[in-house]
Order: sequence, then structure tokens, then C-alpha cells
Amino acid sequence: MAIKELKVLDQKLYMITQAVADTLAPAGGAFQVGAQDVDAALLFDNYIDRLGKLPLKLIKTVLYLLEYAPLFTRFKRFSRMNQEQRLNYLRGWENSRIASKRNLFVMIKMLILMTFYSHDAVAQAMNYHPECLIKDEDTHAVYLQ
Amino acid sequence: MLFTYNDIGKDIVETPDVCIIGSGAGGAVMADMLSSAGMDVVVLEEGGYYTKDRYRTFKPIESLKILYRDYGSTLAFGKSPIVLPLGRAVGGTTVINSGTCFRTPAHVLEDWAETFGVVGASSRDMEPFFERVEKAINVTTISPQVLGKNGLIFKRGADALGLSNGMLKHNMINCHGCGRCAFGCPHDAKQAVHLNFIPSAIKHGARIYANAKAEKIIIESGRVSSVEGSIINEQTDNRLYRIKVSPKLLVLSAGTIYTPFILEKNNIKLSSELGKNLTIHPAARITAIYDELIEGYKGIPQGNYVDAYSNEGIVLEGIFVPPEVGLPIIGASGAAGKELAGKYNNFAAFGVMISDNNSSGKVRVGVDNAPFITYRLHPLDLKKLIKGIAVASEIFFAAGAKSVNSGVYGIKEFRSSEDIAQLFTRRLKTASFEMMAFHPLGTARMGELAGHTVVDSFGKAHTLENLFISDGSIFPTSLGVNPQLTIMAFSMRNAEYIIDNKKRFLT
Repeated sequence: MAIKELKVLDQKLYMITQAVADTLAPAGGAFQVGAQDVDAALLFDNYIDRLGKLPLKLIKTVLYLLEYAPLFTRFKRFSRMNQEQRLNYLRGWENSRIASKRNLFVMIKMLILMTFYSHDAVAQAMNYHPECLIKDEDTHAVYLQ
Repeated sequence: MLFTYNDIGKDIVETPDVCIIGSGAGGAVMADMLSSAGMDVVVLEEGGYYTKDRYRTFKPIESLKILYRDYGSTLAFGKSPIVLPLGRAVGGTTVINSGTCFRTPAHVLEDWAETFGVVGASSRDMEPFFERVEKAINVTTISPQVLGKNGLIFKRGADALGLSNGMLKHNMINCHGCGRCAFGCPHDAKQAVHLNFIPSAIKHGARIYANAKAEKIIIESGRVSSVEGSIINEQTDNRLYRIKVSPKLLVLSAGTIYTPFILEKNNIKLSSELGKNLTIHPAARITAIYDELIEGYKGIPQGNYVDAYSNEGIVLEGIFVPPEVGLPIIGASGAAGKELAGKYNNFAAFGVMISDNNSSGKVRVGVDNAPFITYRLHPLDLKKLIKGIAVASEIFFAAGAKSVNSGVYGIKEFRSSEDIAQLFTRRLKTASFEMMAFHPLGTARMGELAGHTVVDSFGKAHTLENLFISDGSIFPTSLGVNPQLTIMAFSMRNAEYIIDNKKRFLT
């Protein structure tokens, strides 16, 4: 992955995002496609490019926190953990009693999963086929694009 | 004429009769009315101009990025941050709202008259304005043909419990039930104001500047003398040119958040009440899983309602969003989240909206030069929300749900209606709720009590002769219903007031 494709994240943050995305939406399970298959980290990077300076700083800070905070409790960076450890760690954020910690994680999770579930391959795998209830030539055109 | 940044190649200077900031429900109606009366009108709209051909190319998350402020995630901060989606386009929030239309409830108008001294706004006074607006935007009851199974299931449950419910009225012509109201209607079926009032204003000579961000309001000798701003490249957000408008009269229709923000940013202290008294109709979304195939994204997302508890300030309205918008909020992480995603075709969802007359918030200028919104949900309003969630959950089970997700932190999904009691037995805090809100109102409230209100009963600032406000910010209290019709009707009424007093205001 060349750095030049990234709009907002640097290579380090991209790698952290990849690890988070892969944990949130791993390959296999209910359907095969996972975050790695659609490069959800890159989709996320491209999606957030119009966010304001403050939210972008916040996102980057939370990503760094997700990566380095476990060094103090689990003696490992997030991206060095195995899949099960990563999932348990993220659940800790998601179910935290501290509302602000929970909300910060939800913000990252939402943005990553929004881009993941938006990908055509994921929609196809989920059997998600949006269409209008009343069909005519005009409605057909809506979903051709 | 309508100009976007693409049409402009130099700095702009305008000296119209009237400058309107904002082209949503309030600004568009005002622009049409005043230009039809022969006034020279200029409208400044920060957002871009889009048509159905563009909407068709947007995926829902692209719409969030392009047609909304802050990707649809403007936040009101408090014990629990509340997401407050706001539109940013020619047509304002009418482009991305659900299209639901209610007249202002009579008891609300009576309360405004009694408590805030609002004059000339009784149900009888407002009747002709509602009629004219409803005709202009074609308000009609939704056809069951486009309701979709999500709405039908909820109706089935409400009927089984004997709860009063019905089909909503929308501003629409020939709706195809594509489930995309909130992302820009791909058929122009939803009659957002960029399809009616804006074209009519243009026909009457109004000049609409899209991508034009109003930044400075200059006051000289106790009057607004000019508005200065920038033409923004919508691809890069870079400032391209300056725009200066020196009107005889300024109408602020930037919405409940941005109207007080732009005034405060320019240090224009209209009243100590400016920016305060924010109400937002806090809302929660309840989801359920069924054995039957629902495909809730097919059909009109907000088609029906349950008003059995409307006298308590609780209204349930349809809500359904595509998986890329819905799943990230409700889905778990990891394989469990994907398993849930695999069941999205069996999901149903409905919204609970409450009148927040006990709660209030503020809009201030934030450190990043953007609005900083705070909001405190009163325990009495939280109780309403909890009751609404419980009622929605009961309805889902009455319609045969296998499980219901209340969206409340710390409460596992309900497997049967017995589980719902947890909502009342557990000590739930505001921070346990993931809330959204859709109808910010009240930050520049109207009335004749000068110390308690910002503008008079017709939207004129108490302390400035040539400044009017015409958007949701002037409504003194929560409406309890979707506000777009109220905003349009009051805008029409206030425009008539300006026309009737033309000599006074346009000198």
C-alpha cells in the first residue's frame, strides 16, 4: 500500500486502522468478506477527508490510544495482539462504564463500519439489494448508478 | 438566477432590498414571498446545489458527507452526546429530512401566546398560511403502497395492542418508496423547498448564491449595514472569492444552531436569551429481529406513527436506514457483528421522539470557531424517553418479534415482553442512552416580552430595526411534532408582515 493513496492518515495510523477494522469485521463468519478484503482502512481514510481539523485530531488521537494504551495493561500494542485479544480489548472500550471512553470508541467504530458496509462486495455478501417498491423505468435508473 | 462556485469568477458586490442567509424551510419561503412582492432579494447558502441526478449517484454515506453538516454527526454535548443531523445544501434540511408534515398543535400555539405574549399566531390566524404551504409543497397522506414492511409490522403490533396509530402526511408527489428520503430523494418525489419555493423565488428575480458562506454581519448606526462572506469551492473547501451584500433588510434563516452562532460570532447581542432555550426532540431508535423477511430499506422510512401517548409528549415514528448507516450503531464488534449484519433483511426499526419541554440547551461559539452545543436532558424527559422505548418494544413483540434491542447501554436485548420491565427497575442514567435528535428549536425565541425573547411575534429583532429571524430558532418551546411545516407557515406569515410594512423596513 503506497502512502500516496492516503488522504488523511499516515502509514502508521493506516496500519492501526487496519488492525481495528480487521477486528471489527473479520473475514469469515456469517459471510466471507472482511475488512481486509475491501481495504476498509483505506476507505475510512478517504471518507473522513472533509472532516474538520478538530474531529480529525480526535480520531487520530483515539487511534493512537487504541494502539498504545494496552502497553500499560497488557504489555503489548494493539496491532501485535492476536485476534481474540484484540476483540476482547475493543469490547472493553465498547462496554466501558466511562461514557466518554465508550463514545469515543463508537465514533471510530461507526466510521470504519460505515465504509465497510458501504462496499458493494459487502452489500452483495449480505444479500442487501435496495430497490424502490414502485418500479418503473425511472426507479430502475436509480439503482443502476 | 442560481449561482454555484463554478459560475463565479470574481468578487461579488450586491445591494439588494433584502438579504436572506440560509435557503432551507424558513429562507426559501421568505425569498419567494418577498421577491413575489417585487423586492430585490439575494440569498446566501453555504451548501451546494444538487439535483436528483446527483442524489442518484450518492451512496448513503456519501450523502452524509455532502448534504449534511459534519457528516450528519453534529453533536450536542451533555451527559450523553446527542447526534443532531443538519442539512447543508440549497433547500437546507428539507433536502434530507423524512418529509413528515404536521401543523403546529393548537395547545402549543396557545402556550406561546400565554407564556411569551406571541400575538397573531392562533390556530385560526395560522390556518391560511398552513393551507398555502401545504398546497405549495403538496402535503398528502402516504399511500400504504409505499409504506414498506417495516411500517406494516409496526402497524400490526400497534393494532394488536389497540394503540392509536396512522399514516403520516408527507410533502411528496409520486413517491416510489425507495427508502432514501434522508439522502436526497432520487425522484424529486419529496417536495423539498429547492423544488418549489426556490425556483419560484428565482422566477421572481431572486439571486441565490450556493456555496456562499456568510461570515460577518456589520452593524452601523444601530442597523445591519452589510453581510460579508466567501464563495467556497465545494470540492476543496477553499475560499475562492469574497461576497459583500449591503441590504436594506437582513433575514437570518440559518437554522436554530447557526443563526445564534453567526450572531454571537459577530458579537451581536440581540438579547441575553440568544443561543439559549434550545430544544431538540431527543429520539431513540429501537430495533427488532423477526423470522419473516422484512427488507426495511424498501419503502418509505418514516411512513406511519403511533400517537397513543402524544398527550404525554411521546410520539413514535417510523425510521429505517440502510445497513451501512444502521449497522455501525447497533452492531456488535467481530464475528457477532457480522452475524447480525447477515440478518439485516429481518430487521425492523422504529423511532421514539419526545417533547423536551423540561430540558434545554445552549449554542455558543466553540474554540474551533464552530458552534459548540450543550444540552441537558431533564429527568422528567428521560422518563418519557424510557416509556417510549418500552412502548415501542411492546409493539414489536405484539407483532411477533423474536428479540428487541432497546439501544440502552447495559441492557441486553429483550427476548420477550417480560424483559422490558428492566427499563423501569434498573437505575438508568442519561449516559446510558444513545440518542439522536432531529428538530432543534428555540435559540432566538419570539414573543412580546422583550426581556425573555429575542425577536417579536413576527420575527423582527427587538433591538435592531432591520434584522428578522425566520427559522426554527424563533419557536419558544418544543412542538412535539416535526417542525418543517411550522417553519414554512411562520415564514410565510412573517414575510407578509414585512410586505405590509415595506415602507418601515425598506428605507
